[in-house]
Amino acid sequence: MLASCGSTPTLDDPAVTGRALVTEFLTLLSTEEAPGLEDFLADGFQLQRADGTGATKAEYVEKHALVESFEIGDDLVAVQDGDLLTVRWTVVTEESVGGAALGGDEAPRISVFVYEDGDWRMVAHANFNLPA
Amino acid sequence: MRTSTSRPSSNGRIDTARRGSGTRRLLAVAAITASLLVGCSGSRAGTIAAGNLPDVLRDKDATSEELFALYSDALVQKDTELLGSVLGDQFLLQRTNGTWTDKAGFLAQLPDLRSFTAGPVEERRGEQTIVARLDATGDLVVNGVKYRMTAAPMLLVFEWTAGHWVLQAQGNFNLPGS
Repeated sequence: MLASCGSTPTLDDPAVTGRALVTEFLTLLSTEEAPGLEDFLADGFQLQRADGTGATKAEYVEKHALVESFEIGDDLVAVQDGDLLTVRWTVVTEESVGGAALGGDEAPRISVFVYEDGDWRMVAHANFNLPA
Repeated sequence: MRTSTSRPSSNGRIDTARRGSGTRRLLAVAAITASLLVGCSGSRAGTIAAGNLPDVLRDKDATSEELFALYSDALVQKDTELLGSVLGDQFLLQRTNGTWTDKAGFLAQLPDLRSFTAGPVEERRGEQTIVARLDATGDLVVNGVKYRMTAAPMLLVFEWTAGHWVLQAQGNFNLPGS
């Protein structure tokens, strides 16, 4: 981080922070309990999946994806605009949602984080992975 | 402090053919504003001066339904000046097929959106953000590729910055094909 505008840090390299945040997100989803997920998500969080389903924060904390393994692609772009950090990325995962496996092909994601209470918190996430 | 409220929008659908009076008012405001801005100084190239932005962009209580309608209509009309103001400078768009673009790329090669219909919007509001989910159907061509005219999900993130709303992120789940 280079500088700070108000309480929000101005990121020297948003991609480094973006990669760390999406890695943390997938890591949090590796257990049923997902400790830390509630704190990681902003209260206004919404998730959208390719099959048309979605979730709010409460719904996702209650019933989140279970990620067994993941490999984030090299093609990651992150941009910061003040309190907002947007990351577009790709990932290969072994994951399931409600017991249904998603496809294992590399698929895009776009995630948006908002800086609140001294941390970046995920406020929106689009998962373009289709059911297997 | 983090705050958030759930504010589902009305059950009415949005489309280019059948619009409520609110949307017509927005379109009229946008058209009048755009016409008054010809030759206006003080705005960045390709954008509208902050004081002349459409009311909906300057209304912190604007709904995502209203913001989406303004955005989609600007796309249909290929109003690059208005789009330059609707999109945040750090706008990113991701599509299902893996392609993506930023603001400059998007404005340089606008999709050909001839008409659209959108279902009810599921909206969550934070202090400075609106996250909106909806299903949209559009007569859409991107980079010469026709997209399916079936309802597909969309995720939009608006940010309140410098006294107006901008669209900072968009996830489009529709697929190429006829």
